[in-house]
Amino acid sequence: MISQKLNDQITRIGPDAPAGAVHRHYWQPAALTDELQGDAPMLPVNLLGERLVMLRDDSGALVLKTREASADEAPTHHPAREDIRLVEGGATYPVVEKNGICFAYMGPGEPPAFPNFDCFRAPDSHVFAFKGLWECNWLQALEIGIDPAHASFLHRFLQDEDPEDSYGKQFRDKAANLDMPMTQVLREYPRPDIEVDETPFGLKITALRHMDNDLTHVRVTNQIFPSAICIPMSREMIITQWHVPVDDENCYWYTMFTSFDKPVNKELMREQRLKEHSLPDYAPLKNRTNNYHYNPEEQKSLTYTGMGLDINVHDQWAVESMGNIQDRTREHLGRGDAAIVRYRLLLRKAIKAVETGKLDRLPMQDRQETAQIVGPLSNDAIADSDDWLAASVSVDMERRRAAPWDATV
Amino acid sequence: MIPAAPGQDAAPFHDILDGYFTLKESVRQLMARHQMTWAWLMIGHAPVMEIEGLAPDAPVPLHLRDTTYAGLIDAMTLTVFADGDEIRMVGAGEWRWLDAREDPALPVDIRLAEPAYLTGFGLSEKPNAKRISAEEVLADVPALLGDASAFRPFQA
Repeated sequence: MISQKLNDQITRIGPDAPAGAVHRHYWQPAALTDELQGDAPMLPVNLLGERLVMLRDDSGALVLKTREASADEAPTHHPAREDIRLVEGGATYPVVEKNGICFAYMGPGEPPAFPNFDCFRAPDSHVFAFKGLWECNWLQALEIGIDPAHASFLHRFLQDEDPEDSYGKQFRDKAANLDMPMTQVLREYPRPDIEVDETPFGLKITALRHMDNDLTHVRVTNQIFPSAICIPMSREMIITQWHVPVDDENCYWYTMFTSFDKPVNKELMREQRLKEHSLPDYAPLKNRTNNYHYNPEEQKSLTYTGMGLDINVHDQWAVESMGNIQDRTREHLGRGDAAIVRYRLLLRKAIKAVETGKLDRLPMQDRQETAQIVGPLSNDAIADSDDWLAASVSVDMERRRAAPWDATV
Repeated sequence: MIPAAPGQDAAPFHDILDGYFTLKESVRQLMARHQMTWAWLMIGHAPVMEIEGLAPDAPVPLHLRDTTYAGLIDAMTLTVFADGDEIRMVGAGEWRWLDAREDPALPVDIRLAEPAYLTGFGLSEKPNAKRISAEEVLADVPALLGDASAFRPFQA
């Protein structure tokens, strides 16, 4: 239960807001490559409270420029090409395209280097990118993703699907090398021990579910500073997901699905997700105006939420129902919220570093060191001894050795 | 040379202090949890609050209202002695209030507004379940000492 002023400090993202200033020291996903049309795109982009347009400059490079906008424009307003007017002398921000996502740098000085994460180093054939709108502040969207316990409740499935039908879906594969679906592991072992380690990129979060026969299910996820997570999706794929502020009260999730095995079936994955979203603003079709398609009959027999099988909808409901900006004057965290506590420490440390000009204390700002960051390890494994770290690393190494692209770490 | 014996070597460790209690009560619970008799602790960037009129041993309300002074402990080191169920702690730190106060000192019964992460070294006859390497604890010390010129004393 922090005061409103302390909540504002860590949630608001305007250029003069403390957390906004921190975000501006990092590359931010601004658009999907899928959204760019033709050789001369004019794509409206609403990012970090600014009204922008993505286009190519005289050299052919993608840039973001400030566009004219009225004060009452909707947060994700998407004007038609002929209605877009650039602001004379307005800001111009550099853009870099990486495996399906256009990243923009809106901060001072030279942009930082990109880390050499798997989602960036895998070939284009092995990465699929998509995005979706959530009508809430970015921080509550991020914090659900770094809470390893929430999946056992919010994403509880009362029946298990055939893992053979799991392609492109979260939590539907078998758990590591066990003949047990992930949905069963999450359901039957809902209280993980949680270990959190600070890393050069943010946090490594390990959830340990102690099972029968002295086995431990080890699930490693990551927080990538300031607003991303990297989590396993299946034995084949990982998810790297940013929660990017549109403004204080809306955010986009941008996800890169990275395969360590076969090329990604982009057509199928795009089709699965387009069925759930409307364009051009990628707004989810299930939302608060239709009660997220809540079905009490389904809730009795199939899912914890009664909101269908797409776990993204469960998360969306959970974070949007907290309000546009979560009221943390009513919040009561416990020691089990270790990852959230550690993340807020990182964020407050970064806010202080920016305020005092000690930018070397921000994660991933050293251009040489950042480019050397690989991984991160993100997987599910089963340990048959106390050495769960070795079990997790072993599964990761096996997958990396077998990958058709250079995934060595 | 004196051989090592249980309880004679301080172990590096990390943990999370419970929020919403007074800092002193949360540290007392930490000491009891690890059965420590002595500890040196480092805390940083921890939100704190003082709720006007709320007794130190009273539960916090469900909802913070306007009668709260909110602040942040940017950095603090504490040396803690435990004697049975009682503790004494003395240290120094840097803190700031986000709400104007006549007295900028940190009250003895200041409360943590969230659980707070800490690192340190502790003396206990019990192996510390939250043990980490000494290097991990010491990694934050240079930055801490670099800011120490602004430190003010605190004890409770």
